[in-house]
Amino acid sequence: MAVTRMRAATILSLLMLAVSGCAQAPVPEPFPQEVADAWVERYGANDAAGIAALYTEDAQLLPPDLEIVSGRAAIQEFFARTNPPGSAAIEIATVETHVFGDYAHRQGGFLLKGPDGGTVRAGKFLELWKKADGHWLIHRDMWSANAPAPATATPDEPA
Amino acid sequence: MNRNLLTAWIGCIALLGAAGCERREAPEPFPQGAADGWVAAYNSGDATGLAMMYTEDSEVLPPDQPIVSGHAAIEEFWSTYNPGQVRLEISEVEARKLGEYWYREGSYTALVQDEGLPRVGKFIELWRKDGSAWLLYRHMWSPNSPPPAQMPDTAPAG
Repeated sequence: MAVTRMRAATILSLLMLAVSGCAQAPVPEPFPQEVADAWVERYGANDAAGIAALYTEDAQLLPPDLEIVSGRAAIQEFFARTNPPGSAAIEIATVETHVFGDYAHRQGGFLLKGPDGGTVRAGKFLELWKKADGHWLIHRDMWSANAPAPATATPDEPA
Repeated sequence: MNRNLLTAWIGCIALLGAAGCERREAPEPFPQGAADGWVAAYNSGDATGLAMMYTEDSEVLPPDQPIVSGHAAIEEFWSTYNPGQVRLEISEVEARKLGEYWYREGSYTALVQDEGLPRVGKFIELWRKDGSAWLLYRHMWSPNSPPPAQMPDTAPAG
């Protein structure tokens, strides 16, 4: 009798294990907002190296009217060129985020600010984030303005 | 005999568990047919057909224009965005399944009527399954160089 109960318990345990093993749908993490906030701070500080450090090694920028910029070194060079010391700050509004395991997606809008604090350009962006070695970093970054560039503006201001 | 029965039970349970897990993790291919349908509709200038390939809550994020939201606005957008005068080809595509979405990125080449050189650009898409159909949920692209002066906006990706 005791042996039968033990067998029943064993079978039940195995069944529960099998079910729980399958039911381990990963609980989505929150979007890494602190990394996104660091990007804005570093952009405002014209810190190209600091911005580049927030991208994966094999990240890509997909800027408007320019070829894709691939890799952290090229990304640093891009931001050093387009956001030199003393240039614009940026405001970012996140519209939507989804986190899927080691990847996340974010959509938002940006307002690029001139030295006097006025809005120079407004636009939108899509990002793909990737968790690499436990750290959330930007893996793909695409943006564009909401209107054609004024004659005086550069065509490749980032978001 | 009892031991054999127990072994059989354990075997069955393990197989059932494994089969359930495998089914859950079975990879689903990118809906290439839907993506090809988009290009065909674009190249034939079918704005209504294009609009039907987007989710009801879809957003198109075109370069140098505000976001276009929803079926009606998307149909209006494509009907005025030079469809039918452009021959579009997609290349260098990479797709990744993210939860219930497909993320896809790639390059496009657009041959515009009366232009000698093609316009080249890149795109990002998010696809979502609504009912039985995979539809575009987010769609963004930009050219790799400024559009030629006084020409209509460059062509999209799909």
